[in-house]
Amino acid sequence: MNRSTVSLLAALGGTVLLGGCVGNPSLAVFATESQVKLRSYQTRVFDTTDREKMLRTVLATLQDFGFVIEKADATLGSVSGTKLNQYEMRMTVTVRPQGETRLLVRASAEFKPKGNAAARPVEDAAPYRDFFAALEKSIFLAAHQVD
Amino acid sequence: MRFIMHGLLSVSLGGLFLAGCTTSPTEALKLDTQTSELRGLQTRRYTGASEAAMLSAGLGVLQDLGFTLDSSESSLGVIAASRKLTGHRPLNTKEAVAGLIYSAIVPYVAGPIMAYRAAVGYKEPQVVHLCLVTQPAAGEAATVRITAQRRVYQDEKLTQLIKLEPLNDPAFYREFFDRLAKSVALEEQKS
Repeated sequence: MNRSTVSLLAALGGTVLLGGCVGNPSLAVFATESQVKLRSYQTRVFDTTDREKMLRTVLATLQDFGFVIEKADATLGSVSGTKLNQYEMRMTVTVRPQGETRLLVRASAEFKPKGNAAARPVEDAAPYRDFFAALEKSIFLAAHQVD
Repeated sequence: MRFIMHGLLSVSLGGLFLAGCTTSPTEALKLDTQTSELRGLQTRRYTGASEAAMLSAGLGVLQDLGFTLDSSESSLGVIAASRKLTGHRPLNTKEAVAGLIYSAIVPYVAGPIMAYRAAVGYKEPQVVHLCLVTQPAAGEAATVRITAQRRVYQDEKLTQLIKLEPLNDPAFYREFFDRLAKSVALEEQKS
């Protein structure tokens, strides 16, 4: 076995090994950027149990931002809307009870810039911070970061 | 070397300037002075009506206008509807100037086309998305708020999207609430 054959075999072996690192394509949906950090941006806790009032306030807040509501479900506690202004932004907000006395509100958004760019999930803290700032102002309650 | 450095610097500076032009999600979630003005346009308070009655009257008006219901959740007072239509928009300055130039060059050909365009405008195939949200208000009253936006296409088959925009024209909201008021025939107060 000469030197070039050895290096060829090594390269092949390396490719096979590295190929294993690409992962299972059917599990792609589970791979998201720094889950924990993103979840903390997207989540707040409010000291109230009035889920309906919270959902109605979420609706009003989204309308204030210029969203058109597409779907709402009182049983699931979810609201989805889209804002078109050259760009397209989609947002889903869910409201769930947390313990006996609090509600957990989670918002997630997707942003498609003007033109042919693809839609991407919003992973910065700032837009979510602005959303919750407006929400807590509308409902007259403080929003707490999740511990 | 110096030349390359200068090149790199100008490219990165250009990149910075261009980045300033793209819209970001942060801009989409900013409340400004326009917000409360728009809220006023988009909202009406109706006394002597239940929330359910206003929701059902709203749905009736939307159906009269040719909207189809996309989804609804009556326990939260939400209706989402949309309508495909082909509107006409007036010529913009660029088109008007171009039309005048053509008319001056070939008056007998471009003249009549220009006159027709100016009278009828350009076709705007579009889909209008609208949501109507009701809230119960104190003293046997309810508020109705609508927000609307549209996707404008180049062609009537709606394949080539050219414009995404909110419908913020006060006339649009006035007309809608006029029809809603007629349909419920109630005392309406601008909230």
